[in-house]
Amino acid sequence: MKTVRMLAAYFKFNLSSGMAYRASFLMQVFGMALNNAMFIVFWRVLYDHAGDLGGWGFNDVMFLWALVAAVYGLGQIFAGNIPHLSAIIVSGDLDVYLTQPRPVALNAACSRMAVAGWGDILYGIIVYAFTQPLKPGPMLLFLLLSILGAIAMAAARLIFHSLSFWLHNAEGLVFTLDEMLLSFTLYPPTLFPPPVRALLTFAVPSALVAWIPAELFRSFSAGKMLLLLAADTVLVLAAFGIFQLGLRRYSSGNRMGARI
Amino acid sequence: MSLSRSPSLALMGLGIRNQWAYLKTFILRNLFLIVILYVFASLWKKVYADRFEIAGFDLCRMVWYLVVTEAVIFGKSELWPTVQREVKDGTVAYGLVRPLPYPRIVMMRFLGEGALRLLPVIILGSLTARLTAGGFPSGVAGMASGLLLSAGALVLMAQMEMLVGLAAFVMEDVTPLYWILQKIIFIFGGLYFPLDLYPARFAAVLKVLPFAHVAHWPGTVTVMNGALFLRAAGGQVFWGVVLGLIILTVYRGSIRRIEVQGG
Repeated sequence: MKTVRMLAAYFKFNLSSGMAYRASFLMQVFGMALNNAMFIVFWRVLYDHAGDLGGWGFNDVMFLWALVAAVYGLGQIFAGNIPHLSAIIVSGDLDVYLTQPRPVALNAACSRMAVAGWGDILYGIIVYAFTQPLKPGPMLLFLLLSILGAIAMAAARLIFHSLSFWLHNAEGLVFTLDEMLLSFTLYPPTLFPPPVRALLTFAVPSALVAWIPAELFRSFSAGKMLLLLAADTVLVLAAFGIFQLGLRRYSSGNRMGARI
Repeated sequence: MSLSRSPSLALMGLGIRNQWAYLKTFILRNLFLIVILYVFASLWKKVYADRFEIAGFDLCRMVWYLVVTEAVIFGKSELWPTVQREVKDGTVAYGLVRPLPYPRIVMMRFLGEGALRLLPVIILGSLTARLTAGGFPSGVAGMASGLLLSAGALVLMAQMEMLVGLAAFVMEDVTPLYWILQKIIFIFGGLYFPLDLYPARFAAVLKVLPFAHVAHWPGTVTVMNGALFLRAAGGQVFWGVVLGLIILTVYRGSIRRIEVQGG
């Protein structure tokens, strides 16, 4: 309960801090939405020449983009410090989280909000509204799949950044893994041969973040949904486990710092 | 003045030397280029599944086109965050007492870094394209003109990023401006695909804009073995001059806003 209160407090504080510079906040939100919107042109032009991509039509790909935008946006808003974890671990700045009586991984991941994430969510909702059915059932399913995807993506990224506990110069590798995860989720899985798809299911879990949720949206099955929930749970437990394991190797230089 | 004593070239050399120290980290970070090219090669293979050519490009040309356009974007360092930071913290004021204008100092270092970084990116990209789509579809003329136009594209990118950075004089955060510039180059400059894929009239308009001279023209001329090189190079020179004049005007207007307090 205390952890939930901490997360709520982070959300409230980070939001009001982001909105303190109102013009900058709005620029970032609408700038990000516009930035994402340009990719619609890319897919439209491609489909004008292709017609069909391995059973995925234009609207199916748009759903993938709406979902990934919402997933990524939720991650940026609720766990916006994850992209900085690698640098925090290497520079010894994790000390400040160790002194607080809350789970270190969650505390460190959720202590920052990237306000541009609101732009991703806005874009995801708009694309969904223009390309998918506006009925309560599908809309609720979209919301649920977005939350599950955000949890899976945050867990996967936590694992990537935890590599910095073992590899001290891992920022380049972590960046590549992070970008790989995001890049593959944005394209239909049918583009890739089965071995690559398997790799992207188990090693870089693009399938858990977007492909399986998108398939569930196209044709819902309770069995598949349960499998997704189970796989997400394993991923989250693995992420916390790996972070805790890494934490045993963590050493700081007794660096003094303050969080304001 | 001899070339070796030119302050601009000295600054460019400084950029090269600075970047040399971080080259290994840079290459590791840009393994991501392999991922991007693999994703696009897979995408285009599906598109080309039932046709040989689209807008004059076969699959091999399309993938190699991407190598050239992505090389410029991956190879360049980011200039605008430096300018934004230095405008905000006042470092830009130190530029006022230097013998060279601030934009030229920053851009020459950027070009030095880019010149060094372009090579590993081209090698990584070429290996990926070779494995996914086949050998280089052009000859020596294509390769030479591609390298020259890529250098021109780096200059145009430096100028556009300088303008984004200088916007920090009037905006709290210029990051969204850069996102939009970047995506305009991706979609309407031809980074993701040649502009010939758009309807003819729209493509004709896009092709004369500066964004096309960063991606579409270097990519197209390279894979078409140097055809239309003079048209592309002429366009780059034209936009280089226009953007240079705009930077000069904006910079002169902006430095009037600087207030230096103390030392």
